[in-house]
Amino acid sequence: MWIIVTCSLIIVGGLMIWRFYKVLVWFPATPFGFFNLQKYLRQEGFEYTSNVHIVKIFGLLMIMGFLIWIFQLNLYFSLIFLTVGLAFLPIMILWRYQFLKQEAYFNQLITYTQHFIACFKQQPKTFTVLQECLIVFENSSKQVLVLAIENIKNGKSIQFALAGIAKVYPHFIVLNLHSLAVAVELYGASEYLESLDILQNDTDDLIEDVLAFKNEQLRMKNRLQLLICFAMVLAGLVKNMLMQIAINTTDMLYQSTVFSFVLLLFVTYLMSQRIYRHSWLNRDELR
Amino acid sequence: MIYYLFPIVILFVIVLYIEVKFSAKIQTMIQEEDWLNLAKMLGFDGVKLMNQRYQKLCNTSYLYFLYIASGFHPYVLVGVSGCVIYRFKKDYWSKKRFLKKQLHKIRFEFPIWLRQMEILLQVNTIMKALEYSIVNAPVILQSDLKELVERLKQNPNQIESYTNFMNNYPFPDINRTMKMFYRYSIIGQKDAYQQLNRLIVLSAKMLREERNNYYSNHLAIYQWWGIVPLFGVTVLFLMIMINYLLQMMKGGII
Repeated sequence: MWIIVTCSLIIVGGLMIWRFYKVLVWFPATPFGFFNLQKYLRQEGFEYTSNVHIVKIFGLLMIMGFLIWIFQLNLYFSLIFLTVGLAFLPIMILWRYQFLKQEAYFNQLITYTQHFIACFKQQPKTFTVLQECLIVFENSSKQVLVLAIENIKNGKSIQFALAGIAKVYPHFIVLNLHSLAVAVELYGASEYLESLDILQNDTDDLIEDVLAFKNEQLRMKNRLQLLICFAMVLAGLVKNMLMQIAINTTDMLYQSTVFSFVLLLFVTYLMSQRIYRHSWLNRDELR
Repeated sequence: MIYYLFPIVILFVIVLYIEVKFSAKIQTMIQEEDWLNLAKMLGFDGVKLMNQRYQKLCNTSYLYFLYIASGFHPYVLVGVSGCVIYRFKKDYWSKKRFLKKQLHKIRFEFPIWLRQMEILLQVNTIMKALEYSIVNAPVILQSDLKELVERLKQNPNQIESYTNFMNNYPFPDINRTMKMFYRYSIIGQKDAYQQLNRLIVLSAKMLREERNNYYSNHLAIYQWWGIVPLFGVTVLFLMIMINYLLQMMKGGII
């Protein structure tokens, strides 16, 4: 029985590591893993300190330790459970930061679109509009706008300058906005206010839909976590009830069942965190 | 030995004869109802591919001799039939899956392209707007758009030039939009203005519907996942009970 359990765990573990190979590189319990994770997050523009890392590891170990204590897992299964939990911690951290990054990207995209439309209504000159947009852009994203302005200053075409921005924000609303700006600027079109209104409506719809989706996602995440707690409490009660009739907790069947259960809870928690991973924008809307 | 081999050889000859003689009839009989329609929509030679599928079917059906060789074992029959059906249906299923993906993509991307057209139409003629839209158009529409522009260059006043655009796909909205574009180009901007407004409303609705569908599909898996921990508790309870019963049995029933 022990051999079967060990072999199946090795196979499942191997498959998981093969699927999420970064787990090994970022194994959080080692300084090497921490530095790799920190380096990666710094590249993405986030500050990740050792204190935060230690708190996260400690928090996770506390929860897992509590589960181990409640269900009286033996040393063998406890060690496997702790290893699996720690191995997947970096992935959960990355998903969280990915969420923050996408949120910032989405906000920047919306700010740019709305500001561009508002300024273009006032003065249909791309160069002036881009300069106005520079004020509302965050420092980290300003570079792309500065480059576009520099390109126009250096005599490059407006299409060329705007193409650089469209590369960073390839959403169809931005592309449509740029097409309109180019048409107005180059061919002197006059009936553009209505088009700007259409684009404004599109942007409003996008904000409404995306925010509704994100709220629903977070609600779903909370619901999953609540269900985990509920299942934990129920299982604890069941176990305590059966302990009254002197059940043997060192038995292999008991240990493997409880281990599968706590692993299932962990996977559910992982799934609840996986929600963060989803993109804020539909890929089909990007060019 | 001859006693076993003789019926097999006879059967082999009969199958070979049927395969050669009635090939066309069998192909028509076993062909799926929507096969030719599928071929038309995806632009492949339906008859040729059906022929290839039939050949695969014939080649695989020789596996039935295994059934005879196994002494008519029912499991072998089920296994061989599964293999034969899978080999024959594989192409059909993959084409159908591909079409489903394409249709979903078009349903999402057409309104996006339409938005682009609406913007371009504010400042351009139909012809120019179509031409300009190709660069930023969704990849799935680009080749059809190029063909449309070519057709319009040759016959700008013929309605077929417009209505032939993506007419392989079962989307009435595409056809309606193309007719609107035709009227727009023939009658002029003033009279078509109201229709353009209607188009704007329609495309906005389509776009939002598809976007929300995409989002709800993403959430579907998490809705189901909520059952997992509760199911886990049930299994845990059952297993502990079994464990308890087993322990009791070991002690002996008094």
